[in-house]
Amino acid sequence: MIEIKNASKSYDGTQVLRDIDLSVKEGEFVAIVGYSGSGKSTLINLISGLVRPDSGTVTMNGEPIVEPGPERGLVFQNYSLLPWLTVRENIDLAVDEVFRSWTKEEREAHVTRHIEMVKLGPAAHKLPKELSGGMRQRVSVARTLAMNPKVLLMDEPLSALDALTRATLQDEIADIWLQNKTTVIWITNDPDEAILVADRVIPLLPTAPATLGKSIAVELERPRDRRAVNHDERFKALRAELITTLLDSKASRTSKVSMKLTLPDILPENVEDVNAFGRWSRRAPKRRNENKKEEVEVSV
Amino acid sequence: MKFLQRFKLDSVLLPLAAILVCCLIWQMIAGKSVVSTKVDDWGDKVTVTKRLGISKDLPTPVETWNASKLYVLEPFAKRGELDQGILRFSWLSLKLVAQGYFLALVIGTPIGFFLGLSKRFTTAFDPVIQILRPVSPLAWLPLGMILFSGVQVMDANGRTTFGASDAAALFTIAICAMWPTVMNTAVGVRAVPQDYLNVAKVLKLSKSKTLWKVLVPATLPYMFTGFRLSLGIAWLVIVAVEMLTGRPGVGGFLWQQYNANSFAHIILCILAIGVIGYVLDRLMSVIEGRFKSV
Amino acid sequence: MSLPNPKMLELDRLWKIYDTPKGPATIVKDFNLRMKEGEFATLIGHSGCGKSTVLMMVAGLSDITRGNMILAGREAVGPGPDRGIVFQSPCLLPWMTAFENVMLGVEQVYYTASKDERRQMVEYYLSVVGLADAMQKYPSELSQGMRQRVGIARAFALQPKMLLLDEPFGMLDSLTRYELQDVLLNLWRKNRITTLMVTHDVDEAIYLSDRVVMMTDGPEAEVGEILHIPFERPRVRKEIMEDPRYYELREHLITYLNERSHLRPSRGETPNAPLSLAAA
Ligand SMILES: Nc1ncnc2c1ncn2[C@@H]1O[C@H](COP(=O)(O)OP(=O)(O)O)[C@@H](O)[C@H]1O
Ligand SMILES: Nc1ncnc2c1ncn2[C@@H]1O[C@H](COP(=O)(O)OP(=O)(O)O)[C@@H](O)[C@H]1O
Ligand SMILES: [Mg+2]
Ligand SMILES: [Mg+2]
Repeated sequence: MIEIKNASKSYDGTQVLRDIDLSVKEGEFVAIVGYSGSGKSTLINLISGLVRPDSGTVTMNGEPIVEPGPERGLVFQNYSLLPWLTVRENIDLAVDEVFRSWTKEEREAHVTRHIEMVKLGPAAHKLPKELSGGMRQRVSVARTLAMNPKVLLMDEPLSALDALTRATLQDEIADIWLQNKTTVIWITNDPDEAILVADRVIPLLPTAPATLGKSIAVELERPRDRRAVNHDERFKALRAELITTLLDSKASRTSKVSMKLTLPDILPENVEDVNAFGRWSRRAPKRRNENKKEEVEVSV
Repeated sequence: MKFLQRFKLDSVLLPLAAILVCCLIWQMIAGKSVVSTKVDDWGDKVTVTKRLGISKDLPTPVETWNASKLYVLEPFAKRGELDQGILRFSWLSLKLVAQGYFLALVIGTPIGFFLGLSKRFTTAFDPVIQILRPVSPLAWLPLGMILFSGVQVMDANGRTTFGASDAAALFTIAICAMWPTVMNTAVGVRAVPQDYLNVAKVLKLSKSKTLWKVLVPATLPYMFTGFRLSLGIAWLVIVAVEMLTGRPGVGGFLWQQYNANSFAHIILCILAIGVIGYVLDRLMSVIEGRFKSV
Repeated sequence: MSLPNPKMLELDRLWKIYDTPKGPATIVKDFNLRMKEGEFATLIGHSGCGKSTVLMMVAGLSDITRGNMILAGREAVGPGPDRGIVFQSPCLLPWMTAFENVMLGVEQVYYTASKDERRQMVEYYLSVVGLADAMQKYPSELSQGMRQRVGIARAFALQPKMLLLDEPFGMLDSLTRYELQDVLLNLWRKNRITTLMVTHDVDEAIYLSDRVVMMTDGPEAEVGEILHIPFERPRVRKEIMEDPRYYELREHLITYLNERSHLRPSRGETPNAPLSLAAA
């Protein structure tokens, strides 16, 4: 459905992404994991059409993607809700825009259904500033889903939330996905999150420029219980594989120059016991033992 | 690229256009001299100059320029105590401002620090400061004259180089220009994040080190805002002070020309005061920007 | 430094009562903890239960309402450079470079050493945390993770008696967090400073520490359970992640946080985790 072939992208002469090959089937839930600053947003913007590749092609159902459209719904990390509109009005705005041909009642029912889906019924008339971060992100998800996109693109949707809310929302979004099975491309920097929500996890390796690593299929049954998975050998193996892949790739990028550094073998003075006079008197520093210095090799 | 060029051009052209518009309005308000010749009762030809216009005494831009040419084209000439080139006058004023301003900073900054650091000090002195702050320079000057009436420094030839009026002028500038520095420094010190103070506490930094390595750098942006506002006030005050004391300077020149009914020169002074004030403010914001970016 | 001091830190029935507009609020009540020299302990609990409060009392940045704290045999009053602190945001002074930020403390603590030695000291620690080529950069030019590295270097460079870490990696994304955990362990292996760390990340607690101290929910929070982490040092993340005990420990901590953290421990001694693996 979504197909990226050999795409690369540079900003101001520095290449951010190279040789990106990705194909996503209809109804698939794909997660892309990478370090912050490695080019994840750039990648998802290629798919959304906000950014054009320097070379290579990005297509959806065979047609090249040239600009953002309602068939590709985008959810951002920072919610991007209009602060002067209530939850319902925020969603109305999107729905009115996309489904102009519908009657008022149809649209209303549609909005209500999506508000219920993210469990925000009681808060429908509230302004974003009266909501917690997790609730705001729910609104954002509901708004995007209400536009009936063919693909849901999520750019670190939960990164700004605390661990507990993040876990709840992961489960909720995974449940919603089970109901309607839209295609999802989910960007995250958390390997655990990726394994818990997705069918397929692809690491974005932080080589400079970044490129996609080998994709890892997650064959855990849904719905996934984050506690039960803990005992699942497949989960443990996947987790270890993903994390080590990413950490190793980062480590191999940083050049290993060995430097000889001297660590003086001095001990701290007791600052409490000195007065102004103590500072003037120039006695020798306390040392740990006879040999004065210790040479250590450090890889940079 | 093209946009940038146009932008640059605009930022020059638009202000120029606005200045032109202002000159036109000025021209319209100003009185015109109409010269006519007529034959009087004795049959002689006489030329009669009559002024017409909304404000009969206001000279037109061209007249102003003609009358001020001498002062502008020879900006550093000195023909007499109160007959000097405009930049020479400005220089005299600036020298005095610099001294008074320096005094204001030297007194104002520590007061600001005390206010910011100690709640008690603030409670005690805040009312005093609030009462003194709005007092006009015109009110301070006479007090300064009385306070420093005995001050007289003479050079070898017996001429007074620093007299009571100079001391009073400095006093007035300093006491008027000090307040923005005081207030901004105090606000800045209070706004130093607790995190930074914790660093100092944990390392048990000495008082002076805490002051110079933590408090001062953290307050610097606020202090410079204060310094800039203070400089603006100092420049406002100097004109008033010079007018009252009759010292040579832009303000003194202005007052003298008013008494001499030379309106073109008054306009010249106003423009000079404005331009210099603007340049000073720009200079300070450049310096301020440098410190804020660090 | 022959035998490790078995009582490096003793917290004896610490209380913290804040005066709030609604009257006094007891945040921490009867908090007991004893740490050996060279031990790495983490404090875990729900957000708002008072973890930071305990740490700030140990740091001397917050007054102890009631109870005793003894550090290396002496009652410690007020903050001092003998307790290095790393906060969630590393609070570097923005007008100083990374080098100068570390030097500020080094100058203070090694004032008898020569200038050269102090410079070497700073360079050594900044290089070990991986900032050899970023020493002359200002905090605004560094990424969040790099700033936190400076914070860690600054804390270790002073060779404090104790290291206090308050969710030092809380603001970092999970991958950067893994990296920094390794940076921390790497330094800690070279100089085993007694460390008390606050975190809410279960994996982090297991990977880094010798003991995990679980706190009950606030208010009136205290020590709920203590879990020993049996893994050998030096630890390798890959091996630990493949160790079956790892997931048992993880499960235990998660269950505690989800199900038992609201329970008061029975009076008397603090229960250790009732697990066979604690002894393994
Ligand atoms: N519009 C842009 N102009 C210049 N550089 C950019 C732009 N957008 C992103 N970058 C650079 O590209 C790199 C990747 O950024 P991004 O895709 O936002 O990463 P991520 O989302 O993984 O954090 C970063 O180094 C960033 O500085
Ligand atoms: N200065 C204070 N005054 C009153 N209450 C405070 C103060 N500081 C913290 N608290 C309260 O103490 C509790 C514990 O806070 P904290 O130690 O920061 O929790 P944690 O670090 O575990 O998230 C919170 O409920 C908080 O509201
Ligand atoms: Mg991004
Ligand atoms: Mg806390």
